[in-house]
Amino acid sequence: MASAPSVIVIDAERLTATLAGDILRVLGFSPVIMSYSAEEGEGRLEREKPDIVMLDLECGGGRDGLDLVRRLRDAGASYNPLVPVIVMTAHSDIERVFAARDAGANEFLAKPFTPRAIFQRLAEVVERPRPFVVLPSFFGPDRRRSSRPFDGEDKRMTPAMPAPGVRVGGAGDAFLRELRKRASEGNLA
Amino acid sequence: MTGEKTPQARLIGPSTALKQKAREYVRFDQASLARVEKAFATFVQANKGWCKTQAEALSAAFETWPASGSVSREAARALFGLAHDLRGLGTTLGYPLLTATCDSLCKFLDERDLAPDDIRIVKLHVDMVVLVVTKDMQGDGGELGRGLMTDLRNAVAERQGED
Repeated sequence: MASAPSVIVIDAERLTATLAGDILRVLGFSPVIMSYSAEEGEGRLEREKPDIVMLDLECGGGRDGLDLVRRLRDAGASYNPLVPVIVMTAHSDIERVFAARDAGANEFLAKPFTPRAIFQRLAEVVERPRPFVVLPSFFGPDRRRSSRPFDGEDKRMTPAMPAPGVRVGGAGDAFLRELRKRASEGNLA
Repeated sequence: MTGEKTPQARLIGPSTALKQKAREYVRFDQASLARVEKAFATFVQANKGWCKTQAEALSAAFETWPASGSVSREAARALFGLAHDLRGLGTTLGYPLLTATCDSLCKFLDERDLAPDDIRIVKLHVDMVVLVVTKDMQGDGGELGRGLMTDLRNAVAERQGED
């Protein structure tokens, strides 16, 4: 039987999480899983395997939300390395945006967010999914949003940050094998 | 530049599975956006009192600090956490001045181990937060709000220049 797409919100600030949850339910996502720390969120990710992850970079418990993003993109550790990840943060420093992008986040939502901003980020990941790029130094959504020809040059404007735990060695071959294996098991979104 | 080419990128997808799954349940049209905006407005109305509660907690946390001498990392972290939450929701709940003040406070706390002279700067931020909620200074707070914000920024810049 078909079911609505599920979302997890991981944010130590409960009121912000409540607001995000209210909006997600109004839009029709179900269930909307609420988690108020990185540790709790990590456990629920594994158990409930949500279709979308929304997390604050300061998600509580003394852990950086970027670690969670990297773990989600780690084929050996993640329930779905392709899961859409929207990071939220009150830090709007450009370095944080780059760090979130380099960790493999799909979208960035600066706090305080507006209803339109959260609506647009969700629409991006659901309606306009991007392909994933596999490079030795990066695994994540294609950063290019247009469809201009691309012949393999790395066109990123900033160097990729190291992504500990993302095993994409051998130009991504092992990683691709893992993905294909999961796909054959029906274990990918 | 060495002229070396980076390895060929490989692409996976894009997957349309989520789009297909959402089709019957989630729509991204004007009617949905209107519902989201209504839910947002309802949330703001229901949580107007949160900023006052949070400002009181911030003030109470600061009161536990020593009047002079060094401040423990735990005490600084507690204040940072409260300011961080106010920064994230201040504007949403109608108080952009709270977001601006707490953004300044978080950056100030984040950048340094606090010296005794820094406590005065922290107190200016806490007083500003309390003033904004007690005087209900919504938006930019008018002439008073803008003036106080300028004074606060000048005080921070002056203190940073002393280091």
